[in-house]
Amino acid sequence: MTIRSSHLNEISEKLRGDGLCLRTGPFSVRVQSNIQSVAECIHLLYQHHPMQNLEFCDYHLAITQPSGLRRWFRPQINFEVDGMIPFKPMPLDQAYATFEWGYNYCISSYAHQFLIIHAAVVEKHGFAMIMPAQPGSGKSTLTAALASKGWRLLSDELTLIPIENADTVVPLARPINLKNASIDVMREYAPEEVFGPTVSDTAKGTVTHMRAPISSIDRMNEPAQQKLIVFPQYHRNSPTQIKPRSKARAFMEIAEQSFNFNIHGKTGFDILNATISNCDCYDFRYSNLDEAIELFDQLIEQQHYSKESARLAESST
Amino acid sequence: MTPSDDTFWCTNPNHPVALAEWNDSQQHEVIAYHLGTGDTHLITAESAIILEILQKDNAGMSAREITTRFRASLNNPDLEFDSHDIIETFLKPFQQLGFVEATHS
Repeated sequence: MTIRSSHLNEISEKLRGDGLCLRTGPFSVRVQSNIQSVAECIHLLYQHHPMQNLEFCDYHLAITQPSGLRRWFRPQINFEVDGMIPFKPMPLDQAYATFEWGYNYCISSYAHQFLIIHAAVVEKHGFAMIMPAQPGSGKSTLTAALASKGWRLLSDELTLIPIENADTVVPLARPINLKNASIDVMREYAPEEVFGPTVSDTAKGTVTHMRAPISSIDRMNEPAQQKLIVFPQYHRNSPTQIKPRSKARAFMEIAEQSFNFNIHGKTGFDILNATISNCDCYDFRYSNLDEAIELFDQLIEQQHYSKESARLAESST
Repeated sequence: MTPSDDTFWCTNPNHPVALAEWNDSQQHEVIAYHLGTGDTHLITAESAIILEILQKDNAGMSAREITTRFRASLNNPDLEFDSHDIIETFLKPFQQLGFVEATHS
């Protein structure tokens, strides 16, 4: 049963009661909330995600408006994980964004069955392209654009490499968080996509979320093979440029961008070593989304062609 | 006898260093992961050779012996690197990072 199969009122009622349990890739999250905007955004942006039994959930989150003065004067919300409040109260209009940030916080803090890299990841022909980048690099815009043009969205923020299957990436297929200028860019570039409400003055500026493509959600249990690591960097008016990056330097940056590389110790080192070995690494500068997508399509087609050629050669011997 | 001859260098067996390298660029840099501290370092290929020399024979080695083996590894006996250079360029920085230890006979 997906969220779509329930009317908004039912979703709202569930959230105000025992909660609802959403499945996103390998995780299930139980959400409770007495805030209508959270119900509306979940109903809109998680429409195609499955709901599951409340008994087996990885994380228990609550986004609630407290009673008292703060309900009326500069209203705020609290975010709870398993009954604990890890963050200071947030403004009411950031309730849904707080759910998304909080869910990221849970995964990056607790899901140590994965090596978790702060990176977007998309897939085509079974090959994952991992895009680690600093905030403001245009990573999410690129991810959203690729997802809108047929690439499978695995995640816009958290690349999950399973410890037990370290040459793959596991999908999350959650909404894409867009910030500031990228919001208008994507609304114009992919007007057919579904966007949530825009919220201003957050710690990250103005934010909104773009719904994950239904095709990505349908395949959210299907891992992808690691193949490319691309460090994107948006520069206004820059020509589209790609050049190889040394694997050692890619390793250093990814280790720094990982949420739990140090927690895994030598295992983390071995997994990242394997990931870097599996992938071609590139620095990428762009300003034009169509050119960027065309270039990535060519790159992945080359990989696909090489794999098919190798498979055919093997089958003919 | 030079001052370095009575100093023996070895890696720390309790805190080994794991290396990862790929022949994918002209720079040929290597990742060194210190299992004791959990720190990751980007080192030169020459630094990695010194570490590998010490890891292969961890009984303790003089800088002179390390220099001889280093030259042999590079297949360049005329390399203008003497024991003093090896100590200053590689062994002392490694010691600061906790990669190697020095003992005096």
